[in-house]
Amino acid sequence: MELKFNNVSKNYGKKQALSGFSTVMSEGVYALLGPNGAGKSTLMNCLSDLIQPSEGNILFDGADIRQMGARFREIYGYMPQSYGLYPSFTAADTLRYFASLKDIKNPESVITELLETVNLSDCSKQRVGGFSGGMKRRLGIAIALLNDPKVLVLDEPTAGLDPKERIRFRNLISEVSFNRVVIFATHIVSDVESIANNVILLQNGKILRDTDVGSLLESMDGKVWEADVENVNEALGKDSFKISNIVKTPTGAKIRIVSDEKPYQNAHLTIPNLEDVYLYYFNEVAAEND
Amino acid sequence: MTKLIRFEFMKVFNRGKWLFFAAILFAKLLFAFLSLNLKTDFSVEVYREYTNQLAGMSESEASEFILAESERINSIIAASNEMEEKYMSGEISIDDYKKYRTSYYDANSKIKAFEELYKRYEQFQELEPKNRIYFYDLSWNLFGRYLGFDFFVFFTVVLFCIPVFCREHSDNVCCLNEVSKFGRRKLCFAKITVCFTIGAVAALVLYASDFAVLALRFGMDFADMPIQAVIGYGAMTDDVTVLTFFVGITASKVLWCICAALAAAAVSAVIKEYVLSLIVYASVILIPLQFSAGEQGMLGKIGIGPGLQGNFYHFSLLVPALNIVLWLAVNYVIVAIKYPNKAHSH
Amino acid sequence: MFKYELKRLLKSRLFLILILITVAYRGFITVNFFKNYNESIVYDKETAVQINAFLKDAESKQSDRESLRMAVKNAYLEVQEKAATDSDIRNTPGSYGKNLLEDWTIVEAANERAEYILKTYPEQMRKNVSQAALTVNDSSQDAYTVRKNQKIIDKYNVKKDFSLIDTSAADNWLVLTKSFDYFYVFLTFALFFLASEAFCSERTRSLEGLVFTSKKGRAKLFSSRFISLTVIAVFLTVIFTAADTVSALYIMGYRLVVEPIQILPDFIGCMANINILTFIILCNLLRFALLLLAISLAAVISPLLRNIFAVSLSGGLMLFTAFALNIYAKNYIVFDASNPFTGKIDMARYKLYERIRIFLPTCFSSPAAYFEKFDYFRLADFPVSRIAFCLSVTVGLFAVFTLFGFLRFGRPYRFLQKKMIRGKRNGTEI
Repeated sequence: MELKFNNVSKNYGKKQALSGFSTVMSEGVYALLGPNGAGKSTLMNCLSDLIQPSEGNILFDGADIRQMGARFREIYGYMPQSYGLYPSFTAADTLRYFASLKDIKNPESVITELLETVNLSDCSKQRVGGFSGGMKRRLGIAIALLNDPKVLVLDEPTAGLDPKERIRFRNLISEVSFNRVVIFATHIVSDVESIANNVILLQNGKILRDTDVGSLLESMDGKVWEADVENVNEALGKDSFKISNIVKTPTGAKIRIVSDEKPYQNAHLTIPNLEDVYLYYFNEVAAEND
Repeated sequence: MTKLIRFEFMKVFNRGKWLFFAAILFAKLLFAFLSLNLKTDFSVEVYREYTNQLAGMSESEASEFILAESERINSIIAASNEMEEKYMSGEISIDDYKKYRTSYYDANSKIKAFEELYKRYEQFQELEPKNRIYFYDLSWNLFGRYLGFDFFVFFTVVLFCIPVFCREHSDNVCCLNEVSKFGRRKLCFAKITVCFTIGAVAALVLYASDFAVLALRFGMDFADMPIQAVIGYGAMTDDVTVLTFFVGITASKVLWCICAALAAAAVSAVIKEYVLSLIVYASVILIPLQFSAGEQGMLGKIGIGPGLQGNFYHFSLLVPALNIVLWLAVNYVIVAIKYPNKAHSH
Repeated sequence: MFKYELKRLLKSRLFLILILITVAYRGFITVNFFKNYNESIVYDKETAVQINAFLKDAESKQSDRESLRMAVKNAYLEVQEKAATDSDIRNTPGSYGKNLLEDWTIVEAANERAEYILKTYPEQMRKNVSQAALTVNDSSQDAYTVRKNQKIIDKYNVKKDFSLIDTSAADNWLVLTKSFDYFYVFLTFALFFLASEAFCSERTRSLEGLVFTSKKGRAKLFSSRFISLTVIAVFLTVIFTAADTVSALYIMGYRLVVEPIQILPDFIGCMANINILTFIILCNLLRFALLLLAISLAAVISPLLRNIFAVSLSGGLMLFTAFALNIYAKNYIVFDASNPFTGKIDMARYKLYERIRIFLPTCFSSPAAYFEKFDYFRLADFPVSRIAFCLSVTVGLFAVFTLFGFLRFGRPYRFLQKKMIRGKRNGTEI
């Protein structure tokens, strides 16, 4: 199974939302990481065939997804960042409705199982209009998984979920990622760390890095420091490095710094994480573009 | 497809929305009862008596009777002053004068009803002899005047058909629908089918209620008489019975109602917002009504508003049927533009 | 904030579509009217000029009104006699027009005008006043009758100086104005829907949490929104008043437009001391009051129902019922299917129309009815003007709706509040 993006670009007038996005994806979990306006949603909309790319194409097992049409949607599952549901339908009815849209034969067993998976079995007969934001998101995930998709795309899937639900979701994604391409966009780097095999860093529509999590973290070796400072404001005012965390101490503060060079005499190297990666790449590029 | 249609109906009639239809039906029945109320400035009983009298006669006998009765009534009423003078001068006795006054009151009570009958006689002179049949036609005449643009049907279409496409956008569910296998064209065709069905069923039920009220109020007597014999319908070009005529008009309006429902689907599919769709749709349907009184030209052939009003000169099932095909084609084109046909697309 | 709200309204898709439909509808009516204009007029402008010239000439030759009237009448009888005996009136040269037929048209119209202005109108007014004077002096009459007749004297005992000019063009102008009645029904609905969308916009766009918790708050938002809608209503009223004035000037000419409205036989009973131009302005002001009421109706319903479709349908239904009642009642002249040329007055409908004109603001969509006669009704023992009362009802409703709408605007939705309280009591998550 192969999902190939060939130089996918999208313009909205003069604004380049996506520029030359090319990558190949196979089974596994891919995280799209990037600031607001990076082009994540545009990419997902292109993949969902909701908008037409200005250039390039997307191939699934060698076939253009736009030509495939309904055949691609048969194996595609998508949960957008913002979506609505029919307030008067119950959770079960909503799933039955989407099951009929997705041409699922014998949907009842699938629906029961999915409701169990997303922890909505008790609310299956409740109207969706009365659901909280988190419950609606769980229902959205269930809808995306209804047709057992080979390509699963999730836009901010854990937004609105409490920590317990977020852990359940991560475990769910890990379970279902076998023999599936799972792409998800998120700002919650702990989700990326926990479940993503690969990370694609996106900014201004362009790919900054497209690699696995380990390699990305490795690239940050020697760039992440911790130091004790007396005057935090002075540290914050410096342009030569970025501060990713501040913890107040009796003598001042313990700060975590992302910098190519040693920022302070008393600074020592520490193990980098994805937050440091985020800070390093997006601030660095922003500075270059200024 | 049937499942999709079932869910579309669920969406339309959710939360007891069918109660709204029940309320509209109730209001329509009430309105029909109040409107189908025979109010004339002449005596209906006298008119009925005359028509009953004429019912058993041949055409020539009936004409003779009417002319003779006309002369009798006119001469009695014209002689009022003369008879009074004769009585005052003593030429006639009080008994004779009283006899005259009795016949005068009788003639006076009948004159207005007879004038209506006479108008009918004059109308009959333009007709073929086989259509010159006298019968009690006031209820059918009233029914014809009552039938016209039915705002209850219009409201039903607006209430149930405009949201069919609009709600997907207002509820923001379209992005979930469109990534499903059948969430594009097939879903649109399911919605169009639902609108078609709503238009047909609503029109059949609501228009049938008119006939039900007519039957309850006046009965359906003389339904098999020629329509040209009904007062005011002498100019009809269709050689059909009364019932066939009114059923034909109604059938034509049912077809136009289906057009109206399909037009609502098309407007809401293009515009996607409730209020805007409502305004554009109402304007498209209602504004042409102002310009179509008696219109037989293009407006009468393609205007849905004039179609829903009914053409009382000549009813046609072909014109609204063609319009249904036209609106189905319009809907198909809208869907095709929205979701262009790619290889293997549904 | 007002500028922002106005800009938002003017740029909205709904407003643009409404403007398009308004222009198209009004344009269609106007074009349709002028397309059939030449077929519908009794005689052309040239003949009208000749009629006026004849009347002016007659006026210059006579010193008093009665001799003027008789002179015109004699000229008419003379031409009528000539035409009756002449077998070829189209070719016989005429004294006032090109031929005898034109002469006949001219003097017949002139005679009709002279009869109305010099005899019918003054006599009618004298009769009204003298009958009223008798009633006022009759001590057996009740207080209301005395007051009513005193008012008749006050209103009709006013000398009117009409110019002796042809007014046939006014018939066409009246047809045009009446054909706009449904247009103003549409405009009322249009403004109602625009206002509904404006007042429901926070809910529609899920901005309630953002907007209603901000500093500027509800009062300023409500008032700026209301004022911007009013500005649109004012703009439309000004435009259509100007359009009505231009078409009146084109059809009737300036000379006729500045004459008292009573110069037209349809308005013989009008009590107001206004000319045709003022009549046009007043009619449009009444329609403006109706538009304002539609805006305030949207302002009061929107916070109650919140959902734009529910607001549109419920308010639309209310307006529809009011307009339907008005339209049904005002068509009190009913035409027989067997004889469509002679209408009969349906007294029940007529009485209904007279009643609803007292309190139903939708009657302002066809305001001419308020100017056609002595339009007073009995309230306790006092004759009260229908137009004044109806306008007061409209203003009152407007004030109540606006105040209530303002008080409820941006407040938590009561139904949802109750649901939340119930939900909390039951321990269910909301």
